[in-house]
Amino acid sequence: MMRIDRASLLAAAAVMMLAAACGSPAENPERTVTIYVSTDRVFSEPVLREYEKRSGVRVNAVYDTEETKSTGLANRLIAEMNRPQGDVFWSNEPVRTLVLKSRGVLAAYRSTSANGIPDALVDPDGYWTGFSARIRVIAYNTRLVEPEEAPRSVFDLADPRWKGNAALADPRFGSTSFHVAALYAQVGDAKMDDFFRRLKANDVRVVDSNSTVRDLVVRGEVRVGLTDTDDVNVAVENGDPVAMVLPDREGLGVPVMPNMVSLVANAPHPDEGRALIDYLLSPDAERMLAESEAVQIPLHAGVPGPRNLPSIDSFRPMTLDYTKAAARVEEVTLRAAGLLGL
Amino acid sequence: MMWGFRSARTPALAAAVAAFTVLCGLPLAYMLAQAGAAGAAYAVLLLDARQRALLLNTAALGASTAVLATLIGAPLGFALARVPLRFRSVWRVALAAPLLLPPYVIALAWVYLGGSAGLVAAAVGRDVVSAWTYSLPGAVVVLSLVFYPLSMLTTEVALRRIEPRIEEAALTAASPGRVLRTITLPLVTPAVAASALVVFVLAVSEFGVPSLLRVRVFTSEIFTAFAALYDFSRATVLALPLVTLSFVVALLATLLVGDRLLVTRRGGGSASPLAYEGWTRRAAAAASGVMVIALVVPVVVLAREASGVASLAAVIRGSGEAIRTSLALAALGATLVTAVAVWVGYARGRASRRAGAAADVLLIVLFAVPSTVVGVGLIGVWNRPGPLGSVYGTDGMLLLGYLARFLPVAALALAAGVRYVPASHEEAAAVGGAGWWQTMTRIVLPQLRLTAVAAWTIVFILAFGELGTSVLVAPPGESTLPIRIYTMIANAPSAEVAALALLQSGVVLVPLALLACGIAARPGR
Amino acid sequence: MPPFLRVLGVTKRYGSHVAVQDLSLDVSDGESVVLLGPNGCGKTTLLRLIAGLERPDTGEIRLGGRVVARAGRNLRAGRNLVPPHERGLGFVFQDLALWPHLTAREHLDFVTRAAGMSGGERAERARETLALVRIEALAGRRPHELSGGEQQRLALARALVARPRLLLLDEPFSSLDRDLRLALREDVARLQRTLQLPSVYVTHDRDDAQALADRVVEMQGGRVTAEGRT
Repeated sequence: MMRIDRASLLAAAAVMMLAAACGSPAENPERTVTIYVSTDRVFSEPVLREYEKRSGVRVNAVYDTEETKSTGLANRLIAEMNRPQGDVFWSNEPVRTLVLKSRGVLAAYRSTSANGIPDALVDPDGYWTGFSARIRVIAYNTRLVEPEEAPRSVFDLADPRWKGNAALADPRFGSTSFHVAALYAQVGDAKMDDFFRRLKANDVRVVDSNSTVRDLVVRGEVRVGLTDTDDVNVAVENGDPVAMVLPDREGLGVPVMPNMVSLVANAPHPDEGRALIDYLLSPDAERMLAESEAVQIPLHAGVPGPRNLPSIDSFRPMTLDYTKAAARVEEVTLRAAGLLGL
Repeated sequence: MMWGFRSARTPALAAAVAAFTVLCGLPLAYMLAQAGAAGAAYAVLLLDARQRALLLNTAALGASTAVLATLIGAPLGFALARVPLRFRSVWRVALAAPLLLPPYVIALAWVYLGGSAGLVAAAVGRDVVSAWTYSLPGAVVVLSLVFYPLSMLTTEVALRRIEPRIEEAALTAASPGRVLRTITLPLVTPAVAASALVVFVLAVSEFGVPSLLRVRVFTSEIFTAFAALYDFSRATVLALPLVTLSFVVALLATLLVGDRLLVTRRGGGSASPLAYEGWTRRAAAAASGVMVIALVVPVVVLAREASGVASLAAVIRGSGEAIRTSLALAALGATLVTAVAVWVGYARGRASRRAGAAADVLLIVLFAVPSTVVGVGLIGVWNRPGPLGSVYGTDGMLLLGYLARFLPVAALALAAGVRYVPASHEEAAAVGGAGWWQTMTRIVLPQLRLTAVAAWTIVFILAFGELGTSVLVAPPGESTLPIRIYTMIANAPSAEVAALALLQSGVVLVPLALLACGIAARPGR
Repeated sequence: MPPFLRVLGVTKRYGSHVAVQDLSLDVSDGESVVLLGPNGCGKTTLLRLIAGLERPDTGEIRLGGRVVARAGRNLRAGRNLVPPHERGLGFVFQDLALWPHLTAREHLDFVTRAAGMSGGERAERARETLALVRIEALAGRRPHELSGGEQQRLALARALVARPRLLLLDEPFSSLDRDLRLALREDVARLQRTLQLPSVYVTHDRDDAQALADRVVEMQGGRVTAEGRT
């Protein structure tokens, strides 16, 4: 019997060690707020650190990015719904926010800082507010393509001129899914289906992410590709032979893609969450994001924009009904993927 | 005394199996139950033609990778175990190193090299190789170059367990080549087949490499269900065909290889070093060749790509905490996994033939569950009010993630080790008056040391690189190195991606190399 | 007639331990030599040197007039070494070293196939040899399906089946009970008489030596200490 006791003693010790290793999330006298961020960490972390400095509230961030193959944050928020752990969700594109709204993960909050942000980019129900935007752009290799020959519209990518020489990221994921959903909502199914069929016939290269699209263009494996402003800007700053076109300036309008911030329903620290949202929607935060390599375009009038990009009032953005686009995003992106043979 | 023997053994093994069920089985059971509640979710199991084609592609990728990785790894394992190579432990570390590089990064290096505008195309003047780079064979080669060390290490350990006299008896009658084919190989076949099976599962679970090399695989269906549809039930149910594929392959392997007789190593001393000394030059040439292709070429290509990174210093500086966290968690995780796996492995190793074979298949199947399914399942099980919930939101969740994902693999390895310890050793100890617990700690566990170190190392490597589950359960305000790196490479120029990848492999390579040299330097080996 | 086996001034070291020291030994055709000595006296090492499983640090070994091993500075490692399977020996190991995945018949078949015999010849030889050691009924069994004595007989059959020129036995019956040991010893003595095979038999048991030896060689500390005919 002695031996059993020794065994169980050891087992108990092991359990205690595990518990000690885990620590306990004991009551911290310090005020904290938890934010789930899908905007790239390099860009978002400095903004959050600045907030810590100003407010004295400790920010616990969970980072992810649309580009990882993990799809962490949105799934995590859905899985945690019964007992939410995050207070604020900061998304780098609208699709996931809209999905989370429809799943009941988010709570309404109208921030006073949203004053000055165009109405089209604020949810009438208050579940999300847009800020600092990126643009879906056409990147081209400046050694292989003259500026005047570069495509002017996304629909040009189906032109036989670019056969085997155009790339885009998988339409089911990330900002590409937003773009595809927006186009289906604006242009209609018939025309979009036809577009994807012609892309397929044009041997378009469908790759895993927008940064891969950018890399292919930079290396000259393709001449043109559909990607995001921040991806291209990093390469431009790096001195790579690449430039970008804001597509559909005439006609549809330029596909602008704001960051979105939302309060999580039943958040453990709702007050701290609201205060953080107020800060993120402030002109100061927008200025920091504009000055960073992310080259996010400020939505508040009067905040100076990034140097490599035109300001928001110098072109016409695509007017978009987010709710309408969100309603069919899953259906149309799968449809596009099917047409592309994925 | 026999009472003491039995009475300690039964509750201990029951506790091990119960721990295994809770840690490993519960998250999956939770997900299946959720999907079951959704009911209609199971309808997607009637795969359409496209999905069937994807599944077929995945099977081809997995099987080819398992075969190629074994063809590369097993001979190297033989060379390390039998051919009197100089600097053997250096070779071992260098040849095992590719396992430390994230597969995605190796694929990236091959794209830099063999893409349509890669280094080869630039050197030749036109694109001659990209059709091969971007193809199923290309993906098979890349994955084999990452996973062959598993086969190599398993083969070496298995060969070292063979009683040297058994080979010597054959060497007095037949040439070394014939001895190898007829006597040695059949004796290590079960171990080699087991490692091939693990490679198969790792290959069919891969998403990053096939996606980069534009090979369509079934994993993307599961990924789509999570990332585009946020449909957990659909994702869980779609994981079933993949899991079934692993089940079928594991079953076939069990039937073909069977629970072969294992040779107990009795005498001390090593086999005659003379038999294969004529092969030294060939073995060194093969090892150099593999090392160049699997390690030197990718690292040089990445280093070339990474040269001239300016902002990297800041990235590395900021990663200090993540590196420490990752190393500590991976080490603690590997230790916990190994500690539990010893008992699970013992239970399996001492099980009857049929029950043991069934357990092997079950372990492989559990290992094949996609990381995202495990992660969401862990959230469902642990994120709740009460004592369970107090673990949620702590580093304990990452440890639970490692336990859930890697216990099966570690248990498989240790079960193989247990079967080399003759039951008679335990009976002798029992008759000698030792209790079961004493018998385990004094007689059985010391004989499992080598296997436990191997299992620990493999789990450490896997845990250090774990992303899919970690990103779902990592506590707010903290991240492991893979999470940090993957969340940074999204927009980074390829130079920084390359540099970060080298950083990640370097961080884990250095302590492991030291560990390996430490083991090699110990007297008695 | 020159001795069939000739060991000349052979030394074998393992690090600082000298297992065999400047040892010479001749075995004539048809002669049965028993090496007698306590554990660790170097008798097993000597057997392994003769078999080619180890290489001497000094001296040379000849079999049937041919040099099969010679220590030499100028010769590249291994170049002067005839590998074990080309020496035409039968070796019975102390712990038998049977192959767990092969049946008794397959054990013999492995050896005769390596010796280059044709299929019919191999089958005939296997039958004959199994009969010789009296386990012909057990040809289809694997080692773990055989009793201790049967395993011993199989090990003996394996060593004899290719008609070796020299038989080496390393304490083959040390793990058996007394009755079985006596019976097997009788068998070996009978085989020696029938086959007229020169043999080197290692043991620490004087009774074994008495029963089997034409000549007993006593060893201690890696050297020959006494020699005498029985």
